[in-house]
Amino acid sequence: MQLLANALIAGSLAALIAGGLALVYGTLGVFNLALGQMVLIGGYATWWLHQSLGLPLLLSVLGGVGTGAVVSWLTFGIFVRPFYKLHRFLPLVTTIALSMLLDGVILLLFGTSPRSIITGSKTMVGIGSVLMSVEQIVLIALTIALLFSFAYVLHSTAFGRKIRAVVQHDYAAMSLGINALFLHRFVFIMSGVFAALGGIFIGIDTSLSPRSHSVSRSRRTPPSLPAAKETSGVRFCLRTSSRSSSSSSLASTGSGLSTCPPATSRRLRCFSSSPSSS
Amino acid sequence: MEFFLHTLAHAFMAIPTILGYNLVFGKGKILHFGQEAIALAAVYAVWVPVMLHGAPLGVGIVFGIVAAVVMALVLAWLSFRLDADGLGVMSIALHLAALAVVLNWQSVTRGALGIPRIARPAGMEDLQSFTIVMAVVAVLWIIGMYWLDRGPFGRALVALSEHSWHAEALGIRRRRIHTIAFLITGMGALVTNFFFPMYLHLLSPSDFGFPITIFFVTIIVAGGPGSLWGVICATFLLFFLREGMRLLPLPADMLGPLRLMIFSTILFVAVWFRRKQIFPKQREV
Repeated sequence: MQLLANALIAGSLAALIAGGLALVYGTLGVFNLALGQMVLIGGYATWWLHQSLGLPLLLSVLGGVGTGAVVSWLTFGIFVRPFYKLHRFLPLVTTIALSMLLDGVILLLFGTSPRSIITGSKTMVGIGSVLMSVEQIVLIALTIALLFSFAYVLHSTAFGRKIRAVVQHDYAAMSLGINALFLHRFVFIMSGVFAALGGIFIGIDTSLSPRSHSVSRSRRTPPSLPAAKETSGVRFCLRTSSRSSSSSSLASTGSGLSTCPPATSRRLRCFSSSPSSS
Repeated sequence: MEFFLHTLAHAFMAIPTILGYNLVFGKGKILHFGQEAIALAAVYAVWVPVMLHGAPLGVGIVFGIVAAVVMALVLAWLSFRLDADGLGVMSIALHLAALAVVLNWQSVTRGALGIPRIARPAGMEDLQSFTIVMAVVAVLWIIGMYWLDRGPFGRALVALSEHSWHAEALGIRRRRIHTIAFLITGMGALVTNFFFPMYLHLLSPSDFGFPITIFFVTIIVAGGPGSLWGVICATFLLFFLREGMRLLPLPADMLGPLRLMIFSTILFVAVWFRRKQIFPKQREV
């Protein structure tokens, strides 16, 4: 049962974020590969408002959602709209560029340390044999409510019919007086809002970290050159010593940490710190 | 001087895989992001038997060729079965799956520790001689790619990218041409990544992440998709920019993000100016 509850928590998050992605793909036919960064933007904005500015949680969450909406609005205007009518694959490349840009901004502003929106211990509730925090219960309930509301709007209202008409044939919908561009923008912003909510939930439930989103790593330098001063967020490999003779100094790296010279040990330790990243 | 040679060696080393990728992504307009999946399969197939089981280098190279061919054929098969955007996502998934296998199958690959102590062959021990050998390899590869680019194969690939049905109606066999393109890109990945661990004396899975694919995409888009000389120039320029940033007197926690922002801006600006060339619309009469 606990496994089922855990799956429900993870599934709620995935449903929220993937729901927005599916909506955009269905309506515009484009993949937004910067959605992961939009998740982070919403979460980090909420963290900043709550932890740094000291605003109440509800206000911070609204601020985080608003930030997600504004960022996705700008994303649509700059990175998607000028391209998707030329070719629907172009936003695939431009949103990769955006994801790198947002990664850089997030790393500069917030660093790589994990950030929790709510610090301290959480109140746990036992439901039968299942143990869940209050926040997780709220997350599941809110996700279900949000997705059902959106499904209702999409399938049972005039506005939803307009969106579906645009999905089926945007030019035909425009000839019937439906503002397809507005609906495209609306759907894109909604996906950003869902992503931001996902980020806020992650920040409340566990912690936010740019580790799994970073794209800054480049191939390392050879042993004889100055080390790359990279802050990738995935892991740091800042080797502080440089050697003149690379082949001889690396001859002892194979067998493990205990037999390595100090500089090599540091390097190996850094490799093994996060074996499941990427 | 050492920095200059290092950057040159790096750029020369990357030429085969980048030009191979340019053939598929740039010239063939096939939305394929699995170049590093081929590289991972090939490089581990070469160095695991050689370094961990004591096999001769020739055997490792044969294994590498087989692995590169198999992975290239899988990607080619996927490109025939899937829509373009489906292939894009599937090739990313294939790459990440290959990376996950390498990282987690520790009894065979040593996981995140990688394979250390990979020696450079005789005559390539110092940086200068290594750079010269890499330059020779790159020049030979460029000549080969130029020959392909200007020949019937290059024209057939362009015809297929512009209008697949019309090209096939004229007798160009899409499956054959695209399969050959994928095999060439696979060989490019093998050549580059055969030398790369030798250069570092280390084969590490962290050098085969998705960011490398994005860097290759940036180079191709900036150089002009399908353009041989443009991509070669962009390779050298962007490698010098990337490696040169290491010399900036900035704190460590700023340099990484700054590099990200600069390369993302380059990619976006390149796409902006080449938005009608990257995935051109079909010609209309």
